[in-house]
Amino acid sequence: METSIQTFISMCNWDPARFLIFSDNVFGPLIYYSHFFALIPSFLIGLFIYLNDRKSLTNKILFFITNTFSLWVFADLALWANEKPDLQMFFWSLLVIIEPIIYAACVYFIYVFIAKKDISLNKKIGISIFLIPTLIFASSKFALLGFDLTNCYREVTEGPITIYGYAIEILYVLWILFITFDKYPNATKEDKRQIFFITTGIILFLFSLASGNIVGSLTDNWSLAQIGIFGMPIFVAFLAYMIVKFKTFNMKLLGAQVLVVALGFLVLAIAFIRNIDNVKLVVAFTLLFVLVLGHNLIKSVRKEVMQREQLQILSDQLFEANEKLKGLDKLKTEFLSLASHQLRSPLTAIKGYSSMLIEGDYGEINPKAKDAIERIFQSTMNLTKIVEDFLNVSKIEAGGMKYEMAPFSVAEIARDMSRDLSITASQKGLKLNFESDNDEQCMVNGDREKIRQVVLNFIDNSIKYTKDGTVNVSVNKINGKVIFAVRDTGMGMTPDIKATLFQKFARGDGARMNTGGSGLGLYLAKEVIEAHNGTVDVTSEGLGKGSTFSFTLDAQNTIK
Amino acid sequence: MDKKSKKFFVILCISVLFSIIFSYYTFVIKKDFRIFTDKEAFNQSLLEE
Repeated sequence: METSIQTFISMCNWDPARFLIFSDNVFGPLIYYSHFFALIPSFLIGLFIYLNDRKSLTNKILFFITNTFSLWVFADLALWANEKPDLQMFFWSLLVIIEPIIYAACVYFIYVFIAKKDISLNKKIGISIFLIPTLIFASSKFALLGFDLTNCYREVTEGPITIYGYAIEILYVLWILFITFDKYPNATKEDKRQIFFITTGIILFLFSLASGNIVGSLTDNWSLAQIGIFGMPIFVAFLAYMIVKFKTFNMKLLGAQVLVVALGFLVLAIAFIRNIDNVKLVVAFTLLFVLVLGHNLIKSVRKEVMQREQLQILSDQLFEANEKLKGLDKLKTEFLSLASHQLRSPLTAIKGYSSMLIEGDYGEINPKAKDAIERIFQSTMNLTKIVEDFLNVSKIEAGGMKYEMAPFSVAEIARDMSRDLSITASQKGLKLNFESDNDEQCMVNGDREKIRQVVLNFIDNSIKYTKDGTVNVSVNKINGKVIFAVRDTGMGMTPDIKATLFQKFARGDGARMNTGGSGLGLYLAKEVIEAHNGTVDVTSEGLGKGSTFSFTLDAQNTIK
Repeated sequence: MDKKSKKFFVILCISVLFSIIFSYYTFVIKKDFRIFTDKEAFNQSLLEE
């Protein structure tokens, strides 16, 4: 630098800057207040939102915007505080580079915020392409003509590229308005409110920043530009409101937290006021801020208290209902006990005595009476089975069904049951066949008695619903699985009936043929087999074409 | 974000960084800029530009 210029600078009596940003060269007493008040909250809220969800694209862009703005604020302070022309030129060019980037990032942010997804590469290029001239020419005389030392102004003279920068800032603001007006009508009611707040916040921020700088550039009165920086705290306030009100950015933040942090910053920022006269102004501003936030806070606290009261009422009601349910459950258990003992015991007695009468234990009875007693015996047997089915269903649904696991042969059980039921089958004129692999091959691990009931149910059903022909029972081991199947030439079924057959109280067309039965037998069979990690199946070619009921069990299985 | 977009952002960031570095080099290291101390010369320069 030439000696004459050095002399000129020394004549201006500029204060050397400390830490680049602290000096008496700044022209406005509010400059530190406006800058720090904008810088710290914006940086912190950006960081806070980003740390809340690092993967979210909107959070990332917002973090980028607040960071870039923080850099802008630092450069702006350094620019006004520094006494060295070279550093002033550098920081001024830094503003020329950074400022349009903030605007472009805001356009990108609005796109992603509204669409809730990333935009195409072409759109990104479209947004960024306007930045190229400022990036290329930021350090040339097209952006900054030179440094004005006349009258100790210490001001950089801006060139056409800087004016171009202001022009594209206005373009970006208009772009944001266009996106909002374009997408707003199709948004949901909740989204519309969020779009309104975010767009208003961003527009206020960008518009105040741009207008402050443009007015400063046109009038050479840069003190007005400092007011523009207050656009950022306004945007931050909008963001905080959205977070509290709508849980935007998936954040849970309480109004009280926002108020305490904001008050902290307001009080801290007062420390940077250089003129005591301005304290009144700042205190008035702070008071307004506290009144607005305080009002919202009281509203939210009142709402929270009401919600808590409602929650307490609901909790009490729930407790009461729970107690009632416990009582009902106890009653149900008592009923089960009553049913099993009080209902089953008389049935056993009826069954036993009628059997003894039929057998002639009480002497000869005439054939008519014997026939009646046989009907009593048969009906008692049916009733006993129904009672057993109901009790088993209750146990299964209460999770109280116990399974006693032990190895046994399905073939052995099936053979025994086939032998027992062959008499019933032959009485109906049916032929009951049995075939199986050897017993050793058909071993499974399970509850023998429960599986026996399933086997009995399947064979008994086939006999019941087959008018003539045969019932074939088979047990085979195929690929490590034991398959029990009962194939009959009975009434068969349609696919519709097949689909509901294993449901509770489903009886298919059986109800027409057999008035007895609870409709629980196949449901119970399915539950028991599935509890053994097995499967049940039924196949039929159609009505009148017979059917095959089967279940499959692993040789090594466990209870669920 | 797809790969092309990431590549685009990397290029954009590098461009910004280069622009800042070049600006620092021009103004702080090379000190390649005009300083107007004379009002008339300053006004003349403005008119020329």
